[in-house]
Amino acid sequence: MNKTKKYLTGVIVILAISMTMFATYFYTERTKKPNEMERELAHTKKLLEVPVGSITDHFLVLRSEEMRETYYMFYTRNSGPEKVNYTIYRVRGVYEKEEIPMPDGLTVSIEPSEFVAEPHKKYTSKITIKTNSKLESGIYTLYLHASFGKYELLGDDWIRIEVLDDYSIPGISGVYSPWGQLHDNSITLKPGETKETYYTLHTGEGGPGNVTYTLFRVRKEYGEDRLPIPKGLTVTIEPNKFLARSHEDYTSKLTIKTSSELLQGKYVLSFNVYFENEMKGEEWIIINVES
Amino acid sequence: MMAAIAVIISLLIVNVPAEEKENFSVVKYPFSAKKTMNTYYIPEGSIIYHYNDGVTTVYNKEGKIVLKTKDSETPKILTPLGIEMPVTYCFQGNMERGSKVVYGSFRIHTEDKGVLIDDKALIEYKPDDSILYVRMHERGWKPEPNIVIDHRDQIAQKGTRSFSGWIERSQDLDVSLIDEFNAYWRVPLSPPSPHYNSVNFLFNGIQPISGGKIVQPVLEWNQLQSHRWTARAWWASTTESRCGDPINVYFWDIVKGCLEYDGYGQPRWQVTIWKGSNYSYVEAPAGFIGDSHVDVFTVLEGKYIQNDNDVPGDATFYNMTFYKYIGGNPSNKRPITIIWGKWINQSAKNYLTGLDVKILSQPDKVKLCTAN
Repeated sequence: MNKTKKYLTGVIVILAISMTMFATYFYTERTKKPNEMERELAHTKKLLEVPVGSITDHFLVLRSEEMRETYYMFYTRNSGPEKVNYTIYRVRGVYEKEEIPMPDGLTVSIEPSEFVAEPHKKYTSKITIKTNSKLESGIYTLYLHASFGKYELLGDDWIRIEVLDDYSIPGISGVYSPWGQLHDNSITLKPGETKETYYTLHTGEGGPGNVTYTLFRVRKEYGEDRLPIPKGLTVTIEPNKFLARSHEDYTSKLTIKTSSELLQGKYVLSFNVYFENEMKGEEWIIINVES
Repeated sequence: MMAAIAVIISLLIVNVPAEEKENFSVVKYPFSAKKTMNTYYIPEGSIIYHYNDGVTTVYNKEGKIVLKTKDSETPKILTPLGIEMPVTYCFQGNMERGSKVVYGSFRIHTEDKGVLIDDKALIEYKPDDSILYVRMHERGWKPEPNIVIDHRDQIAQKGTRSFSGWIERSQDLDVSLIDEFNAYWRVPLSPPSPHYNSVNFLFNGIQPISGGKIVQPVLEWNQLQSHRWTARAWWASTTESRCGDPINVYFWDIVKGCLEYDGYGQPRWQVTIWKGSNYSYVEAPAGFIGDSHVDVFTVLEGKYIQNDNDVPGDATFYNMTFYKYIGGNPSNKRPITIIWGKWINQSAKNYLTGLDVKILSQPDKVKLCTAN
């Protein structure tokens, strides 16, 4: 009898431990995404507040004995006055920061590279790149490091330079193109319910530029016939208008709210993205309202 | 246009210096960069800036004031659209063959107002690509007095202005698993009157979501300044690239671009472009790009693109197929779902017209449109 009791107690303890582990696992998995999203939203908020900088043209094509210019735009937001300093040198590739020697025949300069910046201003410096006949063809990456005294600055950036002899390498100019994605293309909810999803813009070599998101109701996916959004369906996106810099991820939250009077059915929304000087994109989100 | 010219001619007055009134000139005739009858001469490359308060200021290329005038004190003329406008809104251009008017972003550093920007400036280029004149409006203008250096529009600054990059594409991003992507397309019309160094590429391609690398079977225009179409299989990263031997192709030939993932041993992408039984082939290095979480495209790319004369005709990718291999076995393949989205480079629009991505049939048919 005692043996059976001990055995049963053991089984119960094992079951309890297993259930606790399962519960912990499922809780972690369920809450993982929201936590990640909160982090992404917090990072986006920070990107809209702290000083930022970005190069205007990130991919330049040059032949021998040519010169190209691009620009570095610096937005102080509410920080400053403080000294700004830029350094620019060659690295192995995008996202690398370790300096490697400049090749013969490639020179780069940035002007001005040191100045005092005031709050709420935008500053532009000119980056000049020159090649001469000693330079071998290929792709070179330059890294620009920006500092702003005691203030945090999200301003590091990269320029890729394709030096052509006769060959031109296809594809490579666009491998860091900006792109964005809705996290869900379909949402199902009951009348009276509210749900959230997200859109993340990966700016890549896009920016600096203003980003605008707009939403329309359309008759069908890929269709252009617009319909009025019915009373009882509210879709908001926040942030929906902001300045974006390069090589960052900007996440916005879409909130879909239905009233209890909203008719059940399928509502198709066209989600439009405009990234100034960079891209114009459209995605579709299906709202299924069912009891 | 004829109506406007008729009205202008009807003014029948010789180019005369403007009267000065409290530092404002009185302009009675439309502007022109030539010293002709019935016009008011301003230097070539001038920027005509219309302020919201009714003042029009003309700046020279360096941003120095040429003249200031009040629109209320200038005569009005009837435009071809039947709208009465002050003459300061008119420019006697005599559009020369090869000249071009574009609407785009323009910046000028002025001596009196700092940097002025208009994202919808009218820019008229002469046939040699120099600027004849620019018209800007204050609408949406934000003064930037602390800009450190002169930053006029990059297009104007680059000397030989040109675009290099992906012009437009269809895309499906972050595809969870793909082992085969096939696309057919016909060789389109060659660029109508290309500059010697402009290059175009049309391809179906795959890259990792983190970017930086690509595998693609490519239809090339003017590679090696050949001034012709060639087809070649490529892989490329930001540090290295390889390609197969080229094959010659001609207008209206059908080419087939194939991307196949060899998952055995050292997994790698095999890239082939076919014309009939001729092909160009290259293998990407092992592990260069995997078969999961990748971006899938059809692309029109250009280098040294100055205007519509440098890009080919429309290209339609058709009979596109997408598979995953079960157990990595190509003979046991299943179709996967691809949903194309559209992407057009907004900077390319400063140089090109008629750009559009048409999803003719999901996911097997996509048209990349140009003005040609």
